[in-house]
Amino acid sequence: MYLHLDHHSGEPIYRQIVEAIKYQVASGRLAQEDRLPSIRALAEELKINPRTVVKAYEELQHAGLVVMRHGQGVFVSVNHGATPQSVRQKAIADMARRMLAEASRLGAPKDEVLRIIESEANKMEPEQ
Amino acid sequence: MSDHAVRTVELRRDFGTVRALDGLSLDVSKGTILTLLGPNGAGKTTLLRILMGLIEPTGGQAFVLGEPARSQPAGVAGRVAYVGDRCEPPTWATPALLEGVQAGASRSFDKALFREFCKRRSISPTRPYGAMSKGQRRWVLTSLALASRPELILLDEPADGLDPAARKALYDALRDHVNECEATAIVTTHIIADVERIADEVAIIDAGRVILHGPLEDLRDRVRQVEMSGGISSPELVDLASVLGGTRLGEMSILWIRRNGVSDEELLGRLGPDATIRHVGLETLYLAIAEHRPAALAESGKGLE
Repeated sequence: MYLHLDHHSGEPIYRQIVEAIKYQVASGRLAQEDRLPSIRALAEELKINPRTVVKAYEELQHAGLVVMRHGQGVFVSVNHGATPQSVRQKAIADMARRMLAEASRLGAPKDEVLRIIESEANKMEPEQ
Repeated sequence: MSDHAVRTVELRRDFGTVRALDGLSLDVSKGTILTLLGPNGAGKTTLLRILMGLIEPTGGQAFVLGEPARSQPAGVAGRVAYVGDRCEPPTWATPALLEGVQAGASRSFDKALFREFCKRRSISPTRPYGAMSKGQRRWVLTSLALASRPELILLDEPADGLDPAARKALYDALRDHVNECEATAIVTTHIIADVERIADEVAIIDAGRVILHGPLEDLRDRVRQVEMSGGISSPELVDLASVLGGTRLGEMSILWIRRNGVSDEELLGRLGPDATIRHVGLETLYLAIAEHRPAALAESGKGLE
């Protein structure tokens, strides 16, 4: 499984793994019941401590996105709370929250932000 | 059995009138890579040499794999490897010869692995040590140490003289060794990007003492840079975070803090909307601590206000 890690961003590595796997579920690249790499294999591939992988997998399990089956491995959960669509919506909500917080620091009211999003989206449409 | 591969308690070492270690206490958990950061002369090499039993402490205690470092039984000595500046083989020694010597000294020495390491950097088994570049020498010595499969490996500036590709290869090999053998490593380096890539734990030492020690993931999780125009009074933060350092740039106050179980949102709520909270990389944190510690600020007469 390809995961890009940035060791220099200040963002914890376990959280980068969590986000990357959430992203793969949201984009449909990982489907329900897909098996994730074993803790040992992912640690070896990413050249990190296995405990970091454990922490990431535990957090994903806590979020209901994966299940760890003892002796069998780690699987993308079939839990309805973790459909690609709901994960995707949550990821986009996180982005929106960050953007609104930045915009409010610039003194921009909410409707100005919404207007700009809409006009940018319209500009992109003809290219698609 | 203790979960610590290394434990030092109030370790002191004087060289004449110079105090190299001044009450250094540090625990290193098994199965981790700890990197030691600190300015030149902070005591990093002295610590490694005491752990290896090469020099004795003036005071305090050091334990290695559960045994006192100064009287390591032969059984422990064979489970620890050290690579530093002052342990070089003669110039005429070749990798083939070093391999034979090491195989005789260490039962767990893996010849095939050592040959593979040399091959990776195209170092011929018959090339004399004296004819190798600085980087090749480092590579050969570190390979010898790793191929001995030690439980504890102490590397003093292993990346010195290595190009980026060789550095990555070396650290990848170190990580594989630590993961496969549940070994422990202590590595000193000045290259902060390397620390961010390899460290499980970071210890910053200065003037022979530990200033900050913790899991790197925890530092990433909890250390933040707070920026505000005007002053930030530390009492506002006292129950939420500990202040690691602070400075002022014109109208801006900058604080480096470690959150105590509160979220960034709660911190922002307390500080007000014009505060900015950022993640910080290790380099920023290191410089913040080295140059803007509260104690250093107090000495120079600048407050945190």
